[in-house]
Amino acid sequence: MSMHEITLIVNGKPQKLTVKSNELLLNVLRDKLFLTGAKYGCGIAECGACTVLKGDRSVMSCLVPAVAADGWEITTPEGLVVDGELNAVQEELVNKAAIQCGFCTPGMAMAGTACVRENPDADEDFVRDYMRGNYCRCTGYQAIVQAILAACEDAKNGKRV
Amino acid sequence: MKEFKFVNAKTVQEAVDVLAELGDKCKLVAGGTDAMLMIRDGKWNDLTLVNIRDIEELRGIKLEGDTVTVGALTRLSDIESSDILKEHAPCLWGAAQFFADPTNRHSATIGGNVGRCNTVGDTLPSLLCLDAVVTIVNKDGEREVPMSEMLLGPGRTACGPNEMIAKFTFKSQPHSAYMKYGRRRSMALSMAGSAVSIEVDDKGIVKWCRIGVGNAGPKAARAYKAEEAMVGVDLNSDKALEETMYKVIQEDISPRKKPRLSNWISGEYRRELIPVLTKRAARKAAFGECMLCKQEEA
Amino acid sequence: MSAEKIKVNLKVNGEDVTYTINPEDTLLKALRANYNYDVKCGCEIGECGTCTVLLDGDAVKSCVTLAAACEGHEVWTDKGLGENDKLAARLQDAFVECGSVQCGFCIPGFIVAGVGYLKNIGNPDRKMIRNYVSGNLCRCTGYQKIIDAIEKVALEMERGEI
Repeated sequence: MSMHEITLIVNGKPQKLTVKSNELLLNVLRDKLFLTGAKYGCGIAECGACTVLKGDRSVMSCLVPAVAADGWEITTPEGLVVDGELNAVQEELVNKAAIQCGFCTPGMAMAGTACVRENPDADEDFVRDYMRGNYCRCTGYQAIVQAILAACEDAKNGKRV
Repeated sequence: MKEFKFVNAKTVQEAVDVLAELGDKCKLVAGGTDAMLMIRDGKWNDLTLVNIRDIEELRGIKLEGDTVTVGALTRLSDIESSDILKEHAPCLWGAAQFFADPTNRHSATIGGNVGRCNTVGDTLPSLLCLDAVVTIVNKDGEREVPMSEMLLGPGRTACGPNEMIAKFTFKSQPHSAYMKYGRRRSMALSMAGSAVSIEVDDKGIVKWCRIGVGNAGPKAARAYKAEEAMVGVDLNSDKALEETMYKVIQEDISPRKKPRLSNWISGEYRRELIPVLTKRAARKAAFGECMLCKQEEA
Repeated sequence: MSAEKIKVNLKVNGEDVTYTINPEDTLLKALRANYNYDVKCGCEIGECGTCTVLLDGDAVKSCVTLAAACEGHEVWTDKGLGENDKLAARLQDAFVECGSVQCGFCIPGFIVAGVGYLKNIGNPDRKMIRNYVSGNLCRCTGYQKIIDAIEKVALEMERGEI
């Protein structure tokens, strides 16, 4: 098992880490950097609970080897909060009562943010298709979709996403 | 196909009149917490439901001299909050603290609990150890039945189809307690229960006691042999109790070596459990608290 | 041959109403058949508490209450309380503030039981609150935040803020 020195830029901060060749990005974020917002759900990149952003694009961190993420600009769910304020997607998830047990929520916030950043003019079909990699067992999705659509409107009105 | 009729009896007279006319073609409904389940499951059908919940004269707890009277329609919530019962019949008051849950206690009545005569009815052991007298009324008047003769079997009491329970009367017994064993602190059917009313001398030697046991057999019952065995025993001594009451109460209540499985608790476990519950209830009754367990109060 | 229906006159959420029911109907069935959908049907055996309503001021489980026996009595449901009672409305807001709601199915019963607690006992004592609402079950939340919400309002009552 070889060890590797990598640098991840996480939520704006460069983090120098020594990782094994088979360590997963998700586990490095959670266990080494204590950023536990991204969750371990299925471990096979199906449920989306582990979603983080690479730049503005969503990525399922449970199947990314940490060594492959060397040099990436990563945003975790925690990184969406600036000066104690939620971003528009997080805010709308709360407003639309789109949170029950909360386990899928960080992933929904991440993928939702990527969706709004990519296409603030998204309609419901676009959102539902974009979010197909994120599962929720509680809500039935309706409120989550409404939240992301509302965040699109917020983004167009200048709110931070 | 559900076929029911309904009569709203506002007074005892109205109720006994209906009972005289319809007998076992009608069922009295007080709180409803048991009756509605019987209806739902189809166990009751094709009869007249007689609402008695509004009969004021059958509600209430009174203390006159050293005699306590509890109306049959007194709710468990009223028993739970009764200062009279807390002082004069703590076994019954204590039983109410753990009866079903607070919401159900706003509906459930003591008369209903006795009338349904469930093996695990929580008021039954206490009424037995209090040696309560049950007043039963019918169209011709009233009669009295000692609690020890009231319970005949699961679902059967000495109250006939044309009669209803009116009230329970007993002497003030401040040294009485009920120990319930259930799976949870609330909404738990009793797996076993023991109520004791007792008098000890200042050294803790038992002068007399009455023991009512729940879920020991098909019905709650007095443990007469155990009561005799307790006389002269040092209540503080585990050993003395094990050599006397423990041995006898197991014979008293379940003469078979392996009583049946019932209410999720095996006969064997109950045989081990009931003597201990009885010991704890006796100590709580005599000394105000049991050394080993502090059963929480609400 | 069909059973004969009867009429029952009672007060529901402040209004005089007459329900046409079967003699054996539960109060739950009668309420829901008359558009009181905020009263939920859970277990129908008097255990889960989601059907809890106030009957003459006391919390009862409407699934084990005979509707016909409510003749002349007064019933309040979660929605009716929220719209007409300041304390109940505050409690409903507290449930949202404290994050006490997940799927929401148990909530109407908890609100009514909570109102029953606040009006009849009211101590900001978690143990007493837990005991009073022990007839209400929740499969989602683990109860903590529900108790938080009731405690929060009880504290506000104690401080004279309500």
